Amino acid sequence: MKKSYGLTLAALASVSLLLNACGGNNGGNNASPSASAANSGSSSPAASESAAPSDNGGEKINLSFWTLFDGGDGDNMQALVDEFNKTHPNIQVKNTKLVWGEYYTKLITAVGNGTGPDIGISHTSRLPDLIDQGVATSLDDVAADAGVDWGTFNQNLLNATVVDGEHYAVPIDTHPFIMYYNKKLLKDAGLLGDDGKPVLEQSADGFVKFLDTLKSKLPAKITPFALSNTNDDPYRLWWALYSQLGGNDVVADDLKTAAVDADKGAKAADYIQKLFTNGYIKKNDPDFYKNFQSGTAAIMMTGVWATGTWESTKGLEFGAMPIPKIFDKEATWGDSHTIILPTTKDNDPAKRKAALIFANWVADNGQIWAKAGHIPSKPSVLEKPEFKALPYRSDYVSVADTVKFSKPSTKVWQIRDNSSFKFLNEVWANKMTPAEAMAKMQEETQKILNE
Amino acid sequence: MKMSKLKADAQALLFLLPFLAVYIVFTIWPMIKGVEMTFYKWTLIKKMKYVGWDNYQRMFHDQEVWAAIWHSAIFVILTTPTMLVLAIALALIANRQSRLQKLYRSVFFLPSVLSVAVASYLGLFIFQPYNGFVNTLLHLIGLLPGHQEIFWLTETTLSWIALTLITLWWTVGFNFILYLSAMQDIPDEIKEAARLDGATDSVLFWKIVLPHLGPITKTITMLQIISSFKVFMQIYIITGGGPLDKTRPIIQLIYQTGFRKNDLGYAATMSYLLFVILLILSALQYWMNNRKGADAR
Amino acid sequence: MKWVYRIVSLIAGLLFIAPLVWMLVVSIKKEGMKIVTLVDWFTPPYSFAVYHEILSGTKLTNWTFNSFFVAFCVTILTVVFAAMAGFVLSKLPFRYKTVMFFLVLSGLLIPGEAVIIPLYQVAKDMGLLNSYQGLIIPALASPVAVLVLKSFFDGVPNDLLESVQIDGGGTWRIFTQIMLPLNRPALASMAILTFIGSWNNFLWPFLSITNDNLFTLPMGIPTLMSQYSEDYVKPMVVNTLASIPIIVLFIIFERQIVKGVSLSGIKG
Repeated sequence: MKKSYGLTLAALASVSLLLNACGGNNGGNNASPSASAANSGSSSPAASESAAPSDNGGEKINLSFWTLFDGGDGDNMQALVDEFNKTHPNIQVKNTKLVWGEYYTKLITAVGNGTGPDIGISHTSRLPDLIDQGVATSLDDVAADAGVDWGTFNQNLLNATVVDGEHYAVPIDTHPFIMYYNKKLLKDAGLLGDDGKPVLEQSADGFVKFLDTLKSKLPAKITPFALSNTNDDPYRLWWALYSQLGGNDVVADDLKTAAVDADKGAKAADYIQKLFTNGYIKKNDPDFYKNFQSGTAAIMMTGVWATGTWESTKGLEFGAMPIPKIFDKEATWGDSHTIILPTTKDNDPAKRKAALIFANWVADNGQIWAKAGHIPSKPSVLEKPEFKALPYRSDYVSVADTVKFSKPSTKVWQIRDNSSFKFLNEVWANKMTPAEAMAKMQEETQKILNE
Repeated sequence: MKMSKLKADAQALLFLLPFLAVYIVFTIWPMIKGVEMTFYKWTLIKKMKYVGWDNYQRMFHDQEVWAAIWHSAIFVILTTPTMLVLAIALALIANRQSRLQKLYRSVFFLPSVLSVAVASYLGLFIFQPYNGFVNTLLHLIGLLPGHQEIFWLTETTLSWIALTLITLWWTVGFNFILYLSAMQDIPDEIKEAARLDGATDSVLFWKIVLPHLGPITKTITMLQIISSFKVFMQIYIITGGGPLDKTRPIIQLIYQTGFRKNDLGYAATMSYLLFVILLILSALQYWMNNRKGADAR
Repeated sequence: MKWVYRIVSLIAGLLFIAPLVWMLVVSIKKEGMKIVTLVDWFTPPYSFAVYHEILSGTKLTNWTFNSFFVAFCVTILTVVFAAMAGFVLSKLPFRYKTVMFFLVLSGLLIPGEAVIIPLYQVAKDMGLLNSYQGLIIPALASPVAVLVLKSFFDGVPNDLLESVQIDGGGTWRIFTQIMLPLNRPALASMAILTFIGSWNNFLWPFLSITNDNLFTLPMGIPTLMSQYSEDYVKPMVVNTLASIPIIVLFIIFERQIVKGVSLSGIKG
């Protein structure tokens, strides 16, 4: 042990070198540490971004905006923000992208600390929870000032954002779950009509027959149906089919009782399970998006946000359409993005007004947001020539009316993440029967509602 | 004299102060504060409600909690013995006289310096089906037929295997070094003498090297048990606790309860359960060390 | 027999290095290439385009800096604080010494993970969330470091200290001129372990930081892994870039690091 002193001398020397580096950075390069100094001042929420003078007379207002958008969505939201900043020199919005999976946790945590943003995004399905926790604030104090006309929104969407007669969010889109198809592959399989649309009988057997033809006519390397094997997308398909059968959410109208319609739920799950076990869907496909994108999958189902991604893919000839009517009536899964104003330390009216001007502007310019694939929230936008010039969207705009939204429970996401996903995933992996899964979902949903 | 005693106390306190201040504010005080939290429905925005012993009662009947504890225990059971064996095996390799000796030492230790996030994401991609490293390697050397895939991260058993392998690869370096230096501490004369007596390599290993590794093995084992029990990030990134929460460790459950479900009070209650478990494990370590401690070194 | 040994060694070595080589190779592949076999990963076309994209379009370098900055500060302060406390507990007589010793000892039993929820509340009440201070200060309370260093200091003979005292040296001089130099290996060992611990700290930054300018690598990296696409190239570029500095550091200081780690086993 003794002999090691000399050697470790060097180690200590290196440590002291590091010490110098650390100290040096502390004093000299003040780029990053100064941020900490600003933060330790602690009184200003989201310190570095929004340290603007709060009582401004025509002065610049800086707003921090947290989003959860990824990929094409993220780029389009950034484009909207840039455009807004250009046209509104007095209001500057700074967009911070957070990880989708951690977004709400971070938002709630930060708002709780008083370090939340001035503007946030919420799904309509998550709104009741955010209101309940005091994260999302009522907008009525500044809405009129900011020139928001609630009458110009799609009332169906708007209603989901109103609680006790107060508006809590500005809806900016609807994003239903739809189907995409690869025109080239469908043609090869003889399933593309002269109108460029799939030859597909809208029934339970019809859809299976359609997939079966794809499977037998196309090379073995081609996936007939690209779909995630877990979580969101197969759950959305289940929700669509469950709703097509007349299933009415997994929660009763009192929002306190679990109400999984076991027969309908099992029938829908059974139908999807067979799609997996019969090999129409690639098992544990690690990248179902890429599978469709690179032209190796004939159809795929996901939210409309994929449209923008497919459009920007060279050589991909695709079409979009509503989820086929497999059961009794047309229905699909869908949700809506809204802009909210989270509680901040001072709830500065000037900032809130500016934030709402931004939110309203985003809704008014839905044609930009629609580039990502979403359906705009204001009917007037649907009439704009810029929107009409966008291809594909018209093929699914009508879907917005068949969306079966979830009920306004504060536990929608918890139920989805901790019950529905969990047990349905087991069904897709063929480790649980649909009936068993429905029983477990009922039990687990009730448990979550009781908590 | 009295004066100087006071001065000595003041001086001691001065030396202790930096550590003590941080320690009391950020360890002792939260520990006490946490007890208060367990009696409340305590959310992130601090809507508090006194609930008495509810959180405790709920915890003792909550199967998810006990399942998560069990998963942490499984992780301990899987990683500890394999860690010891692998570390000794690697140390034997690096302890051989050869030109590559130093290279082996670097190679075996290198993964240990990677960030936990890097190691975890590397693990995630290595075990992906179709294009992942492991499956394509198995295809290449013909151990896995070309049209078959192993779905490492969607089967519970395979998930555990993948998590264990990646953890071993990432963390074995430390224990490997400890064993290596213990082996190098064995005086050459003893080995020479044994060789002259005609001992083979394997006899040398079982009769001389292995017994010498006893004390360090005891240390490694206990440290390994306690640190494995606190596993979180590898599992969180690689399997997310799935499939069906069957690999979710207790710390992940605490995080999800506190921050995802916004129930800090209940999460704090679970933290104390974890504390008690770790306390028992530490007490066990203390007891074992003291029982045989005299002959350890 | 020798042959078997060599082959087994070689395979073990290859298996250990393979994931890193794979990471490197995948990171320079062109994006969107079709991969069927392992060989495909290892054949051109190669491209550094994604490196450029990640370096210019993300905050990865910023986060790498944060990780190093926080780890350096935590390491240095922890070792200094722990050495001071360990010295007192080892060599200085004072009232309540036993009480103090047990107070520190009991800290060994409190795992950081178990107090993380209340710690979050405390840090929040103190306004430490979302700051470098919040990342650094709570990490400094390391009773393990105090006790390990104390046990090393115990090994320094008292005669030596007395001789300095007779020379008229004060406590501070004893500490800086005898205890610290004599225990350099132990201090270096503690520094290395503390550094690696901080480098890998995930849970606390993950909970306490929401401002992406203050992210450290373990929490920043997941934000770059897209939720939809599992294209391997980008993640591997991120992994590679995040690893290069620490690997370079390892290569430079390998001997010291290995010594430090092996020393930690002695008093563990």
